[in-house]
This record gives sequence, C-alpha cells and structure tokens, in this order.
Amino acid sequence: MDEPEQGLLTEVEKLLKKRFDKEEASRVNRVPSNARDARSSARIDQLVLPDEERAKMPFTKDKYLVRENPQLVQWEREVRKFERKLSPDHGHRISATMIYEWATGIRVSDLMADGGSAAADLRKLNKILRFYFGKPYMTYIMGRKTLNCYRVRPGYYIKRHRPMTLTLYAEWAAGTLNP
Amino acid sequence: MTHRDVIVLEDGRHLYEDGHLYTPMAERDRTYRVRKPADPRAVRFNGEWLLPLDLLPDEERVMPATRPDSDTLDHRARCACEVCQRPQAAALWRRRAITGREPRRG
Repeated sequence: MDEPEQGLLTEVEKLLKKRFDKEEASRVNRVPSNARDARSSARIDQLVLPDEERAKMPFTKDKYLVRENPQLVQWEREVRKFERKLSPDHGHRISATMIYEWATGIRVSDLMADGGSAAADLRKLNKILRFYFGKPYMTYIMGRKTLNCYRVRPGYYIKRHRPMTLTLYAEWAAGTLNP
Repeated sequence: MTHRDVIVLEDGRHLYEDGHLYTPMAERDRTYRVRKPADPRAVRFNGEWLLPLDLLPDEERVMPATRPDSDTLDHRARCACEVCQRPQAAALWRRRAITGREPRRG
C-alpha cells in the first residue's frame, strides 16, 4: 500500500500506456484487439465487377417512378417517326390531325361523319406536339386553312430533342430510341 | 388472383391447383358487366382498359403536305420548288405586288 501506483506496472505496460492516444483509439479501436476479422464472401468478391468497370447507375430518381399511359407513349413514337420524315432543309407546319391520318389511314372528317370520334387520340397528339413546338397557329397549306398547326423550324432534328414520356426518355438516354 | 395454373373444365368451372373449384357467375346474373376486353394485349390504366393502337404499316402511310404557302415569299422569283409551283404561291406574290405589303405568314 505504501508503494506508489506506477510502481505496480511492468516496463512493457508503462510503455504501452505512454503510447495510448485517446483520439486515435476512439477512431480505430472500437472492437477488442483480439476479435477476429469479419469474414468476407469469396463468392461475392468473384461475382461483382471492379468499380471502374461498372456501367452507369440505373434510373432511381423519384421523378422516374411514373406509370405512363401506354397510348400516349405509342403516339409519341409515331410523332417522332413522322417528324423524322420531314426534311430539315425547310420549315414545316404540322398538326395532330395530319399525324393521326398519316398513322391510321382514317380521315377524321369521315370518322366524325360516321358518328365516331378521334378526340382522345388528337388530345394526346396535341399534348405531345405542344411539348416539342409550343403554341399552335392557323396557317394556309395548299390554299386550305389549317387550324392548330405547330411550327417546325428549318434545321429541326428530332433525334436531338428529348422525348416527353419517361418510357421513351429511358430509351433515348440509352441511345436505343429510333428516332 | 393466382399465378398458378387454372384449368377450365368443359362445364365452365375453374379447377385450381389445390383442388378448389370455382364456378364463374353467369353474365345474366352479374350486377356489373365485365369491362376487361378479351384481347390479351389489353392494359389497365387509370381504371380504363386500353388496347394497342391499330396503325397502318409504315410502307402504306402517305405523308401530307406540311409546307405552308407563305414559304414562297422567302424564295427567289420563278423558283422551281414544290411550294412555288402551287397556284396559291402566285396569288401571294400578286397580292404583295398589288398591296405593297407583306402578306401575313402562318
């Protein structure tokens, strides 16, 4: 009891106590030093690619979690197909009715005369065209007054413009959308 | 709704994998009609059953005229392009010559 407290420690213990650094110990030594290393899976190590060889991250943003109208997506494909056929050497005026009649072979005026309606499809087409070209205007083509025509400026290449629907956007971003 | 195989018997009853038998309600006894189309390609979206669009094959489609008549005013006189050959193009040139003003462009 008369011996000072330091006198009870061996030389090695004294040395190790001197080496002790509180900040480093709290950062590194959070498990006992005699604990074994965590087991790693050799199979997963073989399975996964090295970081530098991995492809782009998948689409994970909240805004991509949308279920889209399949008909809207299909009409946008047709709109892009139609626009691809327009020569970029000139300006053009296109309308929803043009694309509907081009794609279906049904004349809207005949359809209406027979009591049918293409309103649901024309509404979708106008929504897509407005996204690409903005406001529609009246114009004259072959002397006929044509309402709600969208102005396609000269030098317009559809492949350079991103699609409206996210289903097509994924294909466009991957470079697999044609056009 | 099951993802397992369901056998439809000759009498119209459905036999499930666990041996359970289901007799579908006759059309005349139903309060609400079946809205699902018989076409297996039908997709349900916002409470509506949608079928794929019935479109023409690409080779049967005919492109409409998409160039406005007013394009001719940007071309040289006696230009041989498709727009300048239209009779409406001559009318536009004539109107500009008579009024001395640029006709309204669509």
